[in-house]
Amino acid sequence: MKHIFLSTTVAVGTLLFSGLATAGTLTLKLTDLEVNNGDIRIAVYDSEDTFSKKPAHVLGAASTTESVTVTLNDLPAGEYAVMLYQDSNGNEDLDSNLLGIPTEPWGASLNGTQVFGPPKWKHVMFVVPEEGTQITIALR
Amino acid sequence: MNRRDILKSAGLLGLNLGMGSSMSTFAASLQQPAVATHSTEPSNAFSNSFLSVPESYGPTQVAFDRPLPKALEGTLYRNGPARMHRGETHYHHWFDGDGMIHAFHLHNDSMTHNASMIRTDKYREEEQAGKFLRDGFGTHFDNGLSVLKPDDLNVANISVLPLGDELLALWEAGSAWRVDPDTLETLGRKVFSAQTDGVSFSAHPRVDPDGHVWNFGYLTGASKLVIYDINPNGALNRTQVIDAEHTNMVHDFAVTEHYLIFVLMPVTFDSQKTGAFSDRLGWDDESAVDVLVIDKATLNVQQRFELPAFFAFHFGNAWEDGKQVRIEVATSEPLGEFNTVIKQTMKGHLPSQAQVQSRDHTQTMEIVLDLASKRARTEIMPFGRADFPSFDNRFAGYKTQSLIMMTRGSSMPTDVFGFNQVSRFDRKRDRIVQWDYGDEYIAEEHIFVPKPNAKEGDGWLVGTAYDWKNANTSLSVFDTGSLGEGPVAVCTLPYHLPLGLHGKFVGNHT
Repeated sequence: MKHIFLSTTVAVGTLLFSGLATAGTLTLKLTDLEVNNGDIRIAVYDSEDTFSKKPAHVLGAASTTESVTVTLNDLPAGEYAVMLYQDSNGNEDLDSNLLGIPTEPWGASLNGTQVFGPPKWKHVMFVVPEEGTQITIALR
Repeated sequence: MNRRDILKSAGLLGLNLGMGSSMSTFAASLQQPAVATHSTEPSNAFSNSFLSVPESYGPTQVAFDRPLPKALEGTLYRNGPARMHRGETHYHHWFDGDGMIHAFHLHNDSMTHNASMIRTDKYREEEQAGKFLRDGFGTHFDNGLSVLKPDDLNVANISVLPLGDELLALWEAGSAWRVDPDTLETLGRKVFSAQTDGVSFSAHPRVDPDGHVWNFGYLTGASKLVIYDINPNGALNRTQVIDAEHTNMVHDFAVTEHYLIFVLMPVTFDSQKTGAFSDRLGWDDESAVDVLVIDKATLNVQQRFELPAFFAFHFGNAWEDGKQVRIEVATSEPLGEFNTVIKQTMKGHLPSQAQVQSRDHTQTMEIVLDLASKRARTEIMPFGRADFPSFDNRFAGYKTQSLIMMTRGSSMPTDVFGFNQVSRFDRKRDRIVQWDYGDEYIAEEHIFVPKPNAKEGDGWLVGTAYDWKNANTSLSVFDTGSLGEGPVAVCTLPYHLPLGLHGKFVGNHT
């Protein structure tokens, strides 16, 4: 079923680490996790064209505490967006109900942007400068 | 200690005397808290009901002025928006407020009232934050948080449904909330099944005479309806997803012996527009109202009809009459106009002449669907401006002769929003009988309660009314046989209640 809120691509992307020298570290501070209730699966997108379809990087994190920090090193400076969810039942997919609304906690790099429903690239895009950056994402 | 004493003890009163206008402005600002105090102007009659609403009421026992009918024992549960203010943040639309459940227990010629705020996730989060965090239906906050799931906005403030051992508090666009029917304590979010987890469970479920419950859910922008088929014991029997346009706002539906009927109005939604949710809703002038007739047995659409566009929140009863289906409809002014007027009302602003005219020209009507000729038409019913239909639910889906509606008496001040009469239309005699509460009342929904073993339409009406001059709420009981002569028993609370929406009566012996 097509998810109205968030593509399932998070679940099927491949793990990639780029090793470019002129690059910074992206630090993701994730909050409002359901403790010990499934791993966090994170998609990092690097263009509007691939947003929600093909992540440039896929990361994971355990939900051992209510907040966790995940870093992605050597990220070339540029525009990025992050979408993530907590895989509460461990099926490596974002579960959703009959109307496509996620039934597992999810979040995105909204940085205070107010959205109503599924975000678009313009809502979640942020710039990673050469010296790197940190953003905070609350799951719901 | 009053305000003057507080200022005195802080030395501010003396300072004020010597320091001219800036300090008197400061002192005056203390006299004008964000929440206005009571005034008895008609323009504030409606909005004043939301002043000074506590977290809970009661238990408060008051005596009826006359004996209650012996067979009328039970509880009227009502729901409605109650909390409009939190910290420095305020809602501007009636539908925004956090829901409060009221229980009016009728027993031994007296009434005991208690009420509690419905502690949704949204409510508890904002209680901790000390302010409203996200937009309401009709209020936008510039620095509000994102809405990632519809339940982020769930205020559970429209109606109630007794289901199995539970009482559900219902909103239109999110999950139902479970409430303990005795203590009114919020027990948690209702999840019927994994597939319907977070699918909206709308505020106007329909109950067949055998106790079978039908409801629907939708998601604005998704062009789908989800049908719920629920057994009398509360267990989910079936669900069905139906593709349907004009499902950006669906408030109510109708049920007959064999069909579920959706009357879908051309409300548009612009996700790119900024502002409150209601500001993103529009109206497609080019479109008709779509009517879907869904077979209860298969849950598939059996027939579709179109009608010239109108807007309505509520339907009364519906039934099959040979090859025809009849649906009672309380139409309203157009949705956009309603939203504008209610926001003005909440601010105590007067309606314009044009708004008054539009309001007073709305009608109650019947939709007639001819399943054989595949034609649809409407017929006007004699209520004029009316809403909050109620009927004898023992005959839900079957022909009823009696329809109860709230109406406006001609003496009701034009500035006051709402209704001040309860009216009963008797089809057999083709006449309306009504009771007028008077100029200083706003009467809320009145519920039909059948007398034991009585014929259709023979029962009592139980409803609340807000006396805005004296700031109190009363509960009246009428006999449908003598509605025009006024209530058979009335009791009055020593306080007023926030004007609410819908309720259900649960008899002690049902």
